Amino acid sequence: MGSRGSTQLERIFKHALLIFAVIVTMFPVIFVLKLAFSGQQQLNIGLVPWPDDFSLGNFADFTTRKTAEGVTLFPRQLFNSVVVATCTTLFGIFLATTAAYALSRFRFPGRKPALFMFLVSQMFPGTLMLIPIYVILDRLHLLNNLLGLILVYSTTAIPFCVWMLKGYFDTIPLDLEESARIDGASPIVIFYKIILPLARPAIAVTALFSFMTGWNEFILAATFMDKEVSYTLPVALQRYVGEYGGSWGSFAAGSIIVSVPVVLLFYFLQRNLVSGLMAGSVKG
Amino acid sequence: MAQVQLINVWKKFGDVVAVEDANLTIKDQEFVVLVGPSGCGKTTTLRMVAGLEEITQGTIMIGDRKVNDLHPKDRDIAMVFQNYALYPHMTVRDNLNFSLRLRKFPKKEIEERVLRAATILGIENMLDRKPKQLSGGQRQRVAMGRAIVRDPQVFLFDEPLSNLDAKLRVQMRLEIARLHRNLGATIIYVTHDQVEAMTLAERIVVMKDGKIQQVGSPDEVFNRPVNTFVGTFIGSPSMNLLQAEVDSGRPVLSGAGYSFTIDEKLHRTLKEAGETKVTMGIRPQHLTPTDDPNAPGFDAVVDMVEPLGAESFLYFSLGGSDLIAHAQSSVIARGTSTRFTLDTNKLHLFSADGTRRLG
Ligand SMILES: Nc1ncnc2c1ncn2[C@@H]1O[C@H](COP(=O)(O)OP(=O)(O)OP(=O)(O)O)[C@@H](O)[C@H]1O
Ligand SMILES: [Mg+2]
Repeated sequence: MGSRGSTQLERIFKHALLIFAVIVTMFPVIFVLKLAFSGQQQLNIGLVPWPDDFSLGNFADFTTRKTAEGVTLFPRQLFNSVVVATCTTLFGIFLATTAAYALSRFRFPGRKPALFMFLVSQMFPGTLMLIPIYVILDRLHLLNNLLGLILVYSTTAIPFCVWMLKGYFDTIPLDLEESARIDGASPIVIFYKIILPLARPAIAVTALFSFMTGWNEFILAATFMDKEVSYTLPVALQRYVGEYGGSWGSFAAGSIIVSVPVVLLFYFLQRNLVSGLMAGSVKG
Repeated sequence: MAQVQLINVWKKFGDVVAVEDANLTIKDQEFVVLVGPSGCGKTTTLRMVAGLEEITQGTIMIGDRKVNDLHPKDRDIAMVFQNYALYPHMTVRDNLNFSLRLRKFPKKEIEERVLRAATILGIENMLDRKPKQLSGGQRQRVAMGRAIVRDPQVFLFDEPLSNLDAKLRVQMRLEIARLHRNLGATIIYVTHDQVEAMTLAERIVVMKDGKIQQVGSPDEVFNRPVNTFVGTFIGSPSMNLLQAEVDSGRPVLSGAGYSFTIDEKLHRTLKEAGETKVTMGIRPQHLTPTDDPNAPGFDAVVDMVEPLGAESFLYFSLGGSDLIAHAQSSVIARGTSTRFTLDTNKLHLFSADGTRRLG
């Protein structure tokens, strides 16, 4: 019994620790869920993880609020967010894959400095860029315009995406491209038919990153958009606990609605995130 | 099919001279093997023919076209890479037909060609698999199939068998030889394995430090190596080398611990050429233990015996040189003092520095 007992004890201790960690991590999420389904607006921090009475009222409130003119906000704001996040992703991926490929494969003057600048730009806090970007968008007449947000988000996401993709492209053996060249493929064909399919895991990661940048960003969106109908969802959310006072219940319901697409995206992309796609191409 | 010509071809990577003034004509349908130690410029030469590497200086002709500035795809060549370079995300079928699809061949012809190549190589039931579901040997076949479907003028192989185990290597070697017979293609084949070179080649090109040392049939490079490098590189175990002095009077070669008579005519040639010191080469097969105390040769103590069943190799040293002899039996034991004799008709004589063959 002696040694077994001690491992048993160890196991119990480990599990207790893990369960505690899970509770600590999950508590805020559970709390938001409880609040969202409670049908009430006030913060009621009880320890019981389920609401006193179950209601979808908060969800209804979040999705049906109207402006003074009677326009329902949620569909407009959802549309804004979807457009901004999707375009940011597509545009960002397009720019990042092409740039990363060039930086990975070609040697040209300015290549090293460019990579370095990308890295440096990541070291400043995003808010530092707020004023210059504001001025630029103002000059371009893109304030209060979704296109402005798309431009800003995709360009701010690019440095990370380029580094990420370049790192991955570097691991794709040059032989594959040379073989394709002999087979008769042009650089464009090589890029689309060989490189991009092989880089799927990296592209999935960068797509997720770009999408989340566009979907979750708050500060820039709040600064550049001044009409309620052109808000993205994070800005709209914040209004529930800012201007309208403490509508915590609707805020919680809204948060859940806003996070669903990201969770789904994660779920669908995760199988692409699996690396090992390169297995079998070259031996060694 | 076509001949391939390299005329005064140079390749420099910055200060590194990878290929130095290469001149070589590969005849139509010929199987030529480039062989040499690591880093001697074999791959670089092949890549210049393929168009993957720019030529620093010189001319490369395929058929009667100068191809210096032609893209790889326009040279009508196919290349099999050392690591196969199969497209991992495509099925075997798509790997095979990729080039044909890019060249917009009719669907029916693509299918026929793929099936024919797959049948030749025995991979017709693997067409729907991905490369990672294949064994090393099967991947190797797919890589060859990709070249075959193209029906190119010239096949280029860069150490295609080096990733296979010994048994498979022998099998694939035979298959490549058969392929060459059946396709009647011009083949340039790179390897650093001299057995592969000897068995496959119609002509061997021996390279060292970017320079072509000798071009000749396997028989020629084996029996008449132009310098000690080729002599020792081709043949296994490698040729023994001994420094020797040419006697000014009698037809005798002598060195530390030995002296023996050579052919009168050869002696005259050496004297006329003014060679007093030479490097003497003798293959292990022609250096054998003997019971005859008067046979030309020397006595030495066997350091090590490498038994190979019916025969064995004997390692010993003489006057500071390590030598290998070949014995038809394996009765001689380590540490025995033995008389070795050499077949003076099979001597290779080189200049003292080993750069030239004499006589
Ligand atoms: N891209 C390159 N840049 C600089 N030097 C190179 C490059 N490619 C090859 N070299 C040099 O050129 C020389 C010849 O290389 P190559 O690859 O042709 O040798 P190899 O005969 O194929 O050797 P191995 O048997 O090891 O494959 C080597 O000294 C190598 O270091
Ligand atoms: Mg090589």
